[in-house]
Amino acid sequence: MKKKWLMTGGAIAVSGAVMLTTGLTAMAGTSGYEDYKSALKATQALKSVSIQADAVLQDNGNVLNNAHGQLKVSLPDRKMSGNVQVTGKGAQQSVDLFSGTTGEVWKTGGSDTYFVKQDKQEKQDGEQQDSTENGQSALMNKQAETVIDALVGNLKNYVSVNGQTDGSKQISLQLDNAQIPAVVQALAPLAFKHLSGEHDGQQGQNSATDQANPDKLFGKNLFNLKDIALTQDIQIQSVSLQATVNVHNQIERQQASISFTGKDAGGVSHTLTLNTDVHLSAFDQTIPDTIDLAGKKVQQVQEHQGHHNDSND
Amino acid sequence: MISLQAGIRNELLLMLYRRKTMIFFVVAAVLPILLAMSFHALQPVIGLVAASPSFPIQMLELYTLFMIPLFLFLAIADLFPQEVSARTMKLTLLRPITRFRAFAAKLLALGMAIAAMLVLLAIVSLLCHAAIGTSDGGSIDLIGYGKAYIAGFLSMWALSSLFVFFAQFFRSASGFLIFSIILYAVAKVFPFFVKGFSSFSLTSYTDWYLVWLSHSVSAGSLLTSTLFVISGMILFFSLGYLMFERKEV
Repeated sequence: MKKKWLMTGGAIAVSGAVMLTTGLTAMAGTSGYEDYKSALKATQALKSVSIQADAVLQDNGNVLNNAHGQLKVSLPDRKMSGNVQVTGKGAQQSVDLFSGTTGEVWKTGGSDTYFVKQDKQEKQDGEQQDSTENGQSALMNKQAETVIDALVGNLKNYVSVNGQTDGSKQISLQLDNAQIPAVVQALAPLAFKHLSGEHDGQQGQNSATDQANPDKLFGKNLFNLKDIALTQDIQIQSVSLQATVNVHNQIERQQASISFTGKDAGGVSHTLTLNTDVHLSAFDQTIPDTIDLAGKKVQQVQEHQGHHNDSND
Repeated sequence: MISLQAGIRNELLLMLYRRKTMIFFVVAAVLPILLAMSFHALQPVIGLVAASPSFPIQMLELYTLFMIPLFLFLAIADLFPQEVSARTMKLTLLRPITRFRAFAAKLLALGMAIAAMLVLLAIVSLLCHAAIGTSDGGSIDLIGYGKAYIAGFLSMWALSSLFVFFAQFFRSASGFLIFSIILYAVAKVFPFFVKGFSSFSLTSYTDWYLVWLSHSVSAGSLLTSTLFVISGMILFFSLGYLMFERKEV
């Protein structure tokens, strides 16, 4: 009788202790996932930064679209400047962008007309809200983080980290077909159909109106999925992410890649791969360029929903 | 040892004679086929892959999250509270078998049922893939999938020991069934509100098999998570046994 008690008691004590320690290790986990999260937070807290980004979309290894962008962003004075180039199947398109407190200015590569859009009111409202809701949004962020952690679940073990001798870190994540959660996999074709269906409808528009709207200009060029619309067997083949984090816990470089496989209406299989490569530099030392519009061809662009404000000013 | 074997046989036969066990197994076998067929039929509409090479793993996700836990709750309700309320537990204990062996026999029988269900699932989902699946998107990594299924089995068995422990508090099968479903749902939702809860909860290890599918997961975290699952199983087995031992039937 006594032996039995000793056995069960011992088993409970030992397994309880092991469970506690392994649970604590899992919670404390100095894993790549936690490292990446903290680096992301540190990078988001930056006041100004220069960004160089490249994106390439490939179909069975052939380059379909190629985008290259350079951006200088400064948050405290709400300024941004940059240049974006998109090379599509048909043509090349480039846009210079300047954005400040007063509004946005942009110019497409082919013409010398500067489009100007004035910003009113909205931004100031946003500023006031920022200060009052700061505390609340911090709480929200924390809650959102917990939710994301729970959603990620055991996948967080997939993020691996490699410390370098100079104190920087290489963080990487690689997910293959079987490892991608079924829910995400099920949503992939829907997202894909949505993307290609949406842009089919835009084909009729002429390019003159597109010039005044940079979003559309790029949307048309970058995501022209009409020729490669996959209709069957759509699935995410792999997802990978690689980030270089410097000594100050800022993300210096981030490469991401996602590839889809599927068949088009003719039954031909395609592998679509989107690669992005982002370099960040000049942390907190970036000064965005400004533009002097004196003596240049300028065209004002009005926001559709902003019309009623015009008479007041 | 012979009494343990007899005990296991006894429990397995009891399980087999219950109609709901058979229904559960039939549903478990038919569900992947139904899903694969409906995906196949809906192909032109939603464009989803019917049965890709990762189909066995996607099915495993569904089973470790819903099917097997539900089956476990039903089976545990029959194994413990039901036998107490129907006074058939007495008959088991009147046999020349110690309480420990009677208890162990019930848990081993549960483990065998889980294993049987997983084997059935593996065979059916592989057949589905062979019948209407596409070979696009990689081949089947049998060793990796095997590891994932074994991990799925371990986490499910550990989960069953947790619920066997809770079953000791109940004298009615329906009460336990409702309690366990609610407890499982709450334990699944809790990590969305409380940080760190999932590190200490066996219920968040239902997708633990994922860890075994990757090459990038460190050996350290494989070891600690395995230790966690096994020690959790031993802990709740022992606690459950303590309760079972002192139970008046």
